[in-house]
Amino acid sequence: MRISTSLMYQTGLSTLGAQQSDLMHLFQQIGTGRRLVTPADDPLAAAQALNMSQTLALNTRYADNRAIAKQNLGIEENTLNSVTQALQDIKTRVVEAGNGTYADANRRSLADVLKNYRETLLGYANATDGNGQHLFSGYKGDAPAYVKASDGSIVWSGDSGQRMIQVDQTRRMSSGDVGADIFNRATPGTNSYVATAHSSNSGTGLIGSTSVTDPAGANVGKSFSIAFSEVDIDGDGTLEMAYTVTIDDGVSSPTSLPPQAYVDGQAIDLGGVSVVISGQPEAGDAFETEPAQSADLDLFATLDALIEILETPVDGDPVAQAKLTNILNTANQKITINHDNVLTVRASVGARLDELDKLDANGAQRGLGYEDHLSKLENVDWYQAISDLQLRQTALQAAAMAFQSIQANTSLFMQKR
Amino acid sequence: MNLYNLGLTGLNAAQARLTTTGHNITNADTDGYNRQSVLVSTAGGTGTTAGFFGRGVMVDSVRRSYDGFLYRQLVSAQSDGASMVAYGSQISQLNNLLADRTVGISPAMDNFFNGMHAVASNPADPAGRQELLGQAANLVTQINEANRFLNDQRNDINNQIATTVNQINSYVERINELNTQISAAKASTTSQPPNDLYDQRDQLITEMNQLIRVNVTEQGDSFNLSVGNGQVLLSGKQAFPLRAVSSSIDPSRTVVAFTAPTGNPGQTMEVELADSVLQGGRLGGLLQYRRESLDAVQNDLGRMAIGLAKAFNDQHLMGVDLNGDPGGEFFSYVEPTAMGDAGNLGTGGISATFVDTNRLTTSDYRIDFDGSSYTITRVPENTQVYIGDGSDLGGTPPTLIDGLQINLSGTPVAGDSWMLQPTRNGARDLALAISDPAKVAAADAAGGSANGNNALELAALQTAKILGRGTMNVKESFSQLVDHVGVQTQQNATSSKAQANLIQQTSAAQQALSGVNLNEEEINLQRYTEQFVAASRLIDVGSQLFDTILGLKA
Repeated sequence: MRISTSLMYQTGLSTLGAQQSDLMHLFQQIGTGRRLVTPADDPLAAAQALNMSQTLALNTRYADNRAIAKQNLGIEENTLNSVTQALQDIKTRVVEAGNGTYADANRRSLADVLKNYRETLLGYANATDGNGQHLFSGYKGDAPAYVKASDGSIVWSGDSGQRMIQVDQTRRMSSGDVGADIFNRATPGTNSYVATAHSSNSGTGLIGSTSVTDPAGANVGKSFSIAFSEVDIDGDGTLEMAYTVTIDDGVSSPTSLPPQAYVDGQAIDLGGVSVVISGQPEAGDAFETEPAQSADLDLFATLDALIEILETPVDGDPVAQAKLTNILNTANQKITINHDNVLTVRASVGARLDELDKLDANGAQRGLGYEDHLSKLENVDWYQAISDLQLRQTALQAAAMAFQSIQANTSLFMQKR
Repeated sequence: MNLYNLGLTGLNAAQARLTTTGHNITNADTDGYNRQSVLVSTAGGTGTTAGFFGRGVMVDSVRRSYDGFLYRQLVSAQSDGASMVAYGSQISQLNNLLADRTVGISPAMDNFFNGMHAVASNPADPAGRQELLGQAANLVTQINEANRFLNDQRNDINNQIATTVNQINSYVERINELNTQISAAKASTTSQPPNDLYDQRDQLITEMNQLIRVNVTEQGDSFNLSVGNGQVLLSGKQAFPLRAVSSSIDPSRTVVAFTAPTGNPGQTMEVELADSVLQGGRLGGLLQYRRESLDAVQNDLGRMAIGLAKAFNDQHLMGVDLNGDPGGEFFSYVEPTAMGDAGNLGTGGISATFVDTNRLTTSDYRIDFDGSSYTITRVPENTQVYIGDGSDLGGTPPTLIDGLQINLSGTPVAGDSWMLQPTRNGARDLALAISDPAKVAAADAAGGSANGNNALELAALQTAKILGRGTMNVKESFSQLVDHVGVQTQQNATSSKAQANLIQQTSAAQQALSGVNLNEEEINLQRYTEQFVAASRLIDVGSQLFDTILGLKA
């Protein structure tokens, strides 16, 4: 077969060119450390790397979101810690106010102390984060959660919006709590009761705290009103002081039980729920005890009622003293429920912080996996690349030498010279 | 006396052979040169009663070593190779553009959604909102820029088509000229083959095939040329040049038209050629790239832009901004308008509205009206997707064509046609519609500065399968585009390599016959020199014999 001289040169040239182009590609791979110099090197891996980079970016983003949630919950936890301490102190003061040796003047100074606590608590309830957003006002972060009305009372003005943060692929976590859920409510699920005396009572009857004697009792969770009247219970022709219990389950219309004779200090069994009334109620007096879940547990309203009664003189007036005692009792019960609720919210904050830590650990683990995968997709295998490089270099040198020697030694024209 | 004559024929033959050998040596590296050799025969004999005495050698002709089959095989392989190289040089630009995933659209998209998440987690933070708008503007810029690159490439291809068509026409003229020269040369030399003119003409055909695949039919000594599926470029002495013209249905697209006789003498008309008809050579490669890659990639990018903008806007409209106002459009995009063919006689106009962007395809649509009904055909697949009078297209609910509502207006005439490219300019027209950070509708309908619920939903669009009938999220649609480009580049590289091997093999086969081997010529040089010396010796001997006879007399 005839080998044309120009073809021989061309072939030699293109062989060297091809080898050099391969070598160049290896140089690029080694120089950049990337197996994928362009998508054409491995189109599927290039596409997967793009998707993986998004997954990785999202994973990093969720970690950032968790940091924000942690920060918000941390501020809330600090605030709630202060709230807990304030409530603890208020309870002590309320007990102190019940001290029988205290005179009106002592109670007035206690009222001043409580006024201070009221302001302190308002401050906590309207606490703000680094952006000046109120922690507990729901969606309306730029508005305070509680505002002072024209009559001086403190009213809830936030909404029930939960500030959700995407803390993981499928988990949206509330990064705070709403003021109404902290200061105005009983812990969901609690079955405690709040007992109150009617403000119009003219006797000296005192209502103690309500206890749930049998959680499975027929009437647990219902409201009761206990109204006093004079009825001839024993049929002896004289009227005795008696009470009528009316049970309200909040659904059907209230039912009244037959009147019962009143015995001072005897526990009244309401069907799983028991309450003690003592002292001397008058006919027309009434007491109520209702589940904490439906009771008005507005902390600031409770404080206002406390301050008002502590500023009212009661010295020498047994009826007014009974009223004071009843209101102190009620307030004590309510603040205890508020206190328990704040502790519950704190526990939930703690649980969320704990969950965030666990999600962080998972996220970090996942991130490592994603990075490893990404690296496998697009990074060069150094052992392979270096050995390829040596092989190619040798091949290129061999091809160059072969070409030179063939050209130099096989041309008759060249040999003649 | 005979020895003189014998020697003379030998000298002439050796001279002719040496000349030809010299021609071969000097043209060893000339493109398109076919090795030449001298054909000789004995000059016959002079009959005597004692037998026939030879009269020496006679030069018959000079012939080139040429095999039409090998030659055509090589030219065809080279034409395909040139097509692949042209395609490759275009797609590798695109491939390089998408090479680094840490720059361009992909990180811009990650950053944009990261910004959205930051707003969701901290909706009241003005810095976060500002950052989001900055990242959104960057994403828009990256998408616009990628599209600008594609448009530049499209314009460049338009220019290259025009240039290539001019070059093709110039080759036609030169081949026409050579046809004439060859006829004249043959006529002047009693039909001796003008080898070098043949080589020149073949070389022109070779070079022309690098531009477009040309079919050659020989008519006597003349070549007739045609391209595509029989469009004549040269017939006899009449050339019918190609023209680069703007497509009548899409003026942004330069297409090739051929000129054909109208039937009236001397008059021609221009007829547009479908891109797919022209294959091979640089022109074929460019047209193939535009048809198979550029259009698809630009549509893909446009679909991604529109899908993102529409899905994002739809969610954004449900939200409430920092001022308590309902959310407005976040991105802006343009609803597509179909281009009417330049030859349309009616006043019919067609536009479209994006309704369900999840069902958008990356295809274009050709719409034809036959006087009573419209036919909508998806191109380049050529799948008919609708036939009807069009009344249901505007009905309630409208019949959607791949997520598009088609709006008809005016009065078309039978034969009118339109081209609808719903996604072609999507990446170009994408823009950011808001510039005030407070206008980011991060809150849901409840409002409030700390309400990031709508922002959460907006951020969730990052992984929502909002494209390709619920098969892809926005990033996945981009990575699919990258995969397409990568695969096409890879295929082109593979087939180019295979083609280069094929060219090398066919070239070796052709050169084995037609090429010049200098060693062979060197040996020939020695052989013919020896012949020359031998023939000279004949004359010398003749002279000695003559002297001998003269000496006898003395």
